[in-house]
Amino acid sequence: MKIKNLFPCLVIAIAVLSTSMPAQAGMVATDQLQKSVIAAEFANITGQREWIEEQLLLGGVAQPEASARVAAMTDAEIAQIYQRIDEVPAGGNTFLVLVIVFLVLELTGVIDVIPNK
Amino acid sequence: MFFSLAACATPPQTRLLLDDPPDLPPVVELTKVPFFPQQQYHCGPAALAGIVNYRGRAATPDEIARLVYVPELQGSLQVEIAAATRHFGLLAVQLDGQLESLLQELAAGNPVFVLQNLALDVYPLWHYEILIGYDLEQRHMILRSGVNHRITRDFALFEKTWQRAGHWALAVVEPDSIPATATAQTYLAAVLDMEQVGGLDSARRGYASALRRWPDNLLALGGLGNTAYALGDYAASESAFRAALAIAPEEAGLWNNLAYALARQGQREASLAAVEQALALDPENANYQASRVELYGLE
Repeated sequence: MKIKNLFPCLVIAIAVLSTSMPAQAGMVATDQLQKSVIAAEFANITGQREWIEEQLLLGGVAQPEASARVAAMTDAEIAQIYQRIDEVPAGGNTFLVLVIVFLVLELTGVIDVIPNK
Repeated sequence: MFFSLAACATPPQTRLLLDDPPDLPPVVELTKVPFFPQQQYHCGPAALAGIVNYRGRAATPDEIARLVYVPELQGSLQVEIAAATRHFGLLAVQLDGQLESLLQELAAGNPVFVLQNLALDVYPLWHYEILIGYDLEQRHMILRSGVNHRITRDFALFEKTWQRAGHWALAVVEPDSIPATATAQTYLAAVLDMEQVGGLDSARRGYASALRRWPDNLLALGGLGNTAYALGDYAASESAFRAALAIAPEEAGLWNNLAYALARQGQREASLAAVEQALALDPENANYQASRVELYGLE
């Protein structure tokens, strides 16, 4: 799997910085260019990425996939699932045990458990 | 299953659709969308495989599972579905949650990746599917779903299961095209995501597409300038920032970035004038102050 470059703008900044320069010089990122619509800056995003990588590892994802998968998410996506990875939807279609339980509800048209009608 | 929805209340969007039918072909079915039957819990990888193969990327559900599947969750997260879409150089554009928008996308030739909650809010059964068509006469959606090559689901029932999944739907497109119902905001959000994870070439194409439809969009102009710069095309970068500044000369960040695009082309005087302009607009800005110091030393 191709490892994605996490912070392209940071890389640009580093590339054009001479060693003695302060860290803030360089190109302004696309989502920070317009004063009126500056995007949210995410606090402690590195710590959040580490937490999500741990969760993926605990969830049975192997390395190096777990690292690469976290790197493929944007800061906003990281913030979306940080500390909520068990609450947000994980599409998987459970279709065995619960069928009988939900059959009654299904027959009333309240729900639709079984996809293959 | 054998039940009728006749006894159920018709949900709002379905009623609207039936009361005031949109000006669209009565029947659409994108039969060329490939089908990959899912293994248990693997509806995400199977559905995404159908979409990306439709866009000409050869990828199996197993390959995609390594990008999105979480064994302990027995499923795939929405954010990873979007991330995997970008992995293939495709934009994942979030749709607006309107039933009619789904039909418009289908009529425009875009299959739609949807999340469904097939059970209850309190006991959800999440399921990813691909919408491949609809039939206004029969009042149903046509889907590739799970182990089913083709199923239909009444608009009313589809709307309910979709509503319970937060009306989540993605159109997956090449960066050279824009989904029929996308707005500048939703489309550019997907392009910006692509840029942020380093898909610079795809992002640059996405910004260029956005500018064909929304020529004065500042975010797209700035993004085009930044991605062209990152790819080493400094002349294109300069012209994008100049176009943006013609619309918004008060945006100091654009002057700062223009200064870099000029410096890279050896235009020292113009570059310094640009960074001075940024500082004139925002004298206290530490970034621009540092840029000025740096640019004086940059050939």
